[in-house]
Amino acid sequence: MRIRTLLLLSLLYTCSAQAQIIFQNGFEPPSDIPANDGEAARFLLQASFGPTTAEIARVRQIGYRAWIDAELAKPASLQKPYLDFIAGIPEPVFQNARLEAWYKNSITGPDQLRQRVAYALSQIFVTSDLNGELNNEVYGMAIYYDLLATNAFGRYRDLLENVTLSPIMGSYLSMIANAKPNVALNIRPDENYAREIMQLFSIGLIKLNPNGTPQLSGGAPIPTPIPTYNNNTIRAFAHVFTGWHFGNCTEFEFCGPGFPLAIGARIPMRGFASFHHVEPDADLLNNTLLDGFARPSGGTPEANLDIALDNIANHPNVGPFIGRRLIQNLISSNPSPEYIARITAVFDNNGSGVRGDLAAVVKAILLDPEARTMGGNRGKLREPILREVALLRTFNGRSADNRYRLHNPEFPYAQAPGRANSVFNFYQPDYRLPGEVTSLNLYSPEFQITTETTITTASNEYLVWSFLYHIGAWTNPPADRIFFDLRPASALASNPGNMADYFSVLLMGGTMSAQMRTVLVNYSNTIPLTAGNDSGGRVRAAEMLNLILTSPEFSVLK
Amino acid sequence: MKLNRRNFLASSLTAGAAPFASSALGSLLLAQAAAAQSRDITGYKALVCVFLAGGNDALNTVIPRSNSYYNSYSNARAGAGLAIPQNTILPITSSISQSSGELYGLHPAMPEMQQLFAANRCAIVANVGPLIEPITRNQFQSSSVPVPPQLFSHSDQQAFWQTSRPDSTARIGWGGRLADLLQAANTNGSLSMSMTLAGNNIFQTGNVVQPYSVGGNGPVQRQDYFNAESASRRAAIDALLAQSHAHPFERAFSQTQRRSLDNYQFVANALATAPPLTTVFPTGTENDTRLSRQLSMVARLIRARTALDQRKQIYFVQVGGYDFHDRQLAEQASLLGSLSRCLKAFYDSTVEMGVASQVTTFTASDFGRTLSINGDGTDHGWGAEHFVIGGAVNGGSIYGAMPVPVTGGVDDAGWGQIIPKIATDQYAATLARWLGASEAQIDLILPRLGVFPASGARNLGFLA
Repeated sequence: MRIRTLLLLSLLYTCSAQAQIIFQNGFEPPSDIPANDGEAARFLLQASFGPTTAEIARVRQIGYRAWIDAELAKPASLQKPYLDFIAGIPEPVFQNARLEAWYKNSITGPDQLRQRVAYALSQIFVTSDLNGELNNEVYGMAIYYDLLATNAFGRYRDLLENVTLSPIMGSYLSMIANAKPNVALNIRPDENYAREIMQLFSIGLIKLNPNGTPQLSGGAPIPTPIPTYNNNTIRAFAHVFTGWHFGNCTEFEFCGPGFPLAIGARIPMRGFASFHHVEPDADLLNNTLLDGFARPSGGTPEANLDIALDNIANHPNVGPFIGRRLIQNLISSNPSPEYIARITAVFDNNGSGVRGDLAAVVKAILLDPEARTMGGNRGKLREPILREVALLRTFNGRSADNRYRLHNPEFPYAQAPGRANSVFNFYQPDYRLPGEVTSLNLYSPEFQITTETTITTASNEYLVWSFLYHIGAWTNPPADRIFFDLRPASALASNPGNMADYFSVLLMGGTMSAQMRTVLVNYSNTIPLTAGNDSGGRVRAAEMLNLILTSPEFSVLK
Repeated sequence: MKLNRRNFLASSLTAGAAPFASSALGSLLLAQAAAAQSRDITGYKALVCVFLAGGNDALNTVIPRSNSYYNSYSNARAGAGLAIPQNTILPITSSISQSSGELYGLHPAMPEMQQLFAANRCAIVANVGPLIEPITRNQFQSSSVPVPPQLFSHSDQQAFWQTSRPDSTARIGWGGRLADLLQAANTNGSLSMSMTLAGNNIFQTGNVVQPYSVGGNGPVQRQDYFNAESASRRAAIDALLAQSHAHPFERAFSQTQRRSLDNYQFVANALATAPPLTTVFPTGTENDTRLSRQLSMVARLIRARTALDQRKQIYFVQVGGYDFHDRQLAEQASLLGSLSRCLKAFYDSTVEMGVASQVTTFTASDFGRTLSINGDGTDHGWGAEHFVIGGAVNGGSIYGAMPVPVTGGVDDAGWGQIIPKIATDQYAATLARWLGASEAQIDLILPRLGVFPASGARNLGFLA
């Protein structure tokens, strides 16, 4: 009898899901108002760290555009005030305090879209506290992230300059203290920043069409991609990026960030003309920047930096290169060429003649039909740490003392904000998981950190959350631990189908398949539900939550 | 539990292989099982790749100690004191002399490697790197001979080193191609012969065989599955994984989780039943701990080889931090010191297990670094020296010609990058042959080997 009811329910569910897909594959432009809670929640999974019932209602009321516009206008939640709060307790301020700030702003920040984009940017303009020097600069690292949040909706060119002059980036990619050549001592400028600003932060290795596909030379034997630059170009930029040191330094040599407050790690670098390379100089083999632009003679560190950054930021590759990375982080690992081309067009011109307007780019990415509708192989593997954050945001995870002691997330998740192994981030945008994903020619960045080991360390972490850290799991809950609210789910326990639907909307954007729902409901029904006893409902909810958080369907944002 | 994996495989084969027949794994297992019957599978061997991520500065690792080359090296690097002082170099004496007549030594932080070299258990391969064809300085500067795509880029040169192919966008590693051909030597077909202590990597990615990831403490147990109070939860987890998923990422996720669950008990039991090792792995520094965690687990997995039922294994271990753009002196000393200590401990563990001549460890890295300096660091280079360690190594020798460390000299590509004289293909071929690849298989794995026609090009000779 019970099984028959379930079959009926799942049949009904299948029908409605199919109707939805047919509607979404139609030719009409996607509506600005979500058709249901699931669609609104799916949008919020892309545009924020996770939906809440309140935000779902709001998106359904005002529509996607108005929601985005409101987000674009919100000021940035910063990490620095949280460090001040820790310092004022007083407690020592270690890198894990910075991670607490990240969790707090990601879970509770009112500027959700800005925080989400800042996090995406932190995976493009990578700095990492695994670097020995940066490990000591907790404030510097937090202020660097604040820089990304503050500039997230500004112009790309400004972001690039602020990143370039950050003492944290300067330390990480050794532009700081980079001096003009000394031919007698066989010392020439450090190529590190010059190389990575082009390879990773702006244009990439090969010339792209506006739709992100490689431009090919017709040369024999087969058409090959055209490099955007060569090592001479890198040298030319390496010479430009000379003469910069910590902003509190009064002389170039024997200068450090400063103690006790390490002010130099918190303010932009400053230029020293006498250590800056100017043209002409016999040592420089090549003064040609990108696309044949010859660097002019003379100039100051600041003026030459402007010239170099203009040269990079105006390169036609930036739109498709940065656009693709933002799409990959927010929406889909495999955007179509048409999707990339539409974003490139907005990057090149926001409609008012402005190039590199990141607010317009982000808005276009989220509103694109390819983001608003499901289909094909669209979507991405959700980052393991973001699955945790979504759980805590959606179900109001908080501690009694308003702390977020979620230290060392890299242990279960193989990733932590500001803690990548190298400037190449936790994973690379062109990573292809061997097997079917490769044979389908798909990219799958997040699978690079998804192994037999990490998939299970992450599962075990979600298990601990599900069973141990919801409200009601402890008789005397410790004030320093985060608990989330499973009570609305528990209240549905007498009807597991309703509970599955509730979780489907809030955790999966309403995309749970009928097959999965059936498994969850059947399992839930094996757990005794004692009338009048909350524990039965709580256990059913925790068990179902655990199965969802560790499932393949939940793990892929479609 | 009498039904071990091998028995299970055998019984499922005789029963028509119903559990597997329809899957790719099933056909792989069938093919392997068939192949295994006709092969000589005696003789355990393991290859261990230790990847130094970031690009080690080989010029400060294997250093000229006789006056003529030392002086040019030191002149090139004197500016910011980046040359290693001559009187601190740890001398080694190669049984094969360099045609230049020069003598060499090791970085002062590497006494253990000096010791292994003197005991003929360590060989150095000189100036190896990615090449399309042999190339000279003039040819490089006039662009008259093709070079690997995106020279000096981390990601691309890591990929070239690990694939030894210029079309490395395919991201199929030479270790993976080797495993594709040798996996059949293992009667246990369900556990990959490629195991990684450092996550997904290109080196071990094959067309068929993919690496199995093991943590520093062994395989990780999924607690809600193995400690299930109720069998029904386990069944629910199985059902969620077995769904007919619509999205390829869901299927991929499901397969990885499935492999983790399926191999856990087997590998954990194998590790638990293998006798403990007495060799102590160093943990004095953070760098020691990072490498020891990985290498000590490799040792334990080798110890468990019988229970794992594996006769050929390929391991991948990785340590980062070698991108010495600045603060090179201190950071390289720390990393090389830890590398030396840990590789020695690992070698000692293979002696303890009686498999020293059946385990060969080799280093690889993104690239070498420039002879010229940028202040307190060096930039991305090209060719570099590498270490091969083990009882089967014809050690105590430097194989190939060490570079001429002269700014603007014959081996300087133009900006201090050293032009390699030995191709990664040759290095890989010598290692693959030792593990068991036939000459025909080597040509399948490394199709460009014939481009390097010099005598001895197919076999550099550093392995018995």
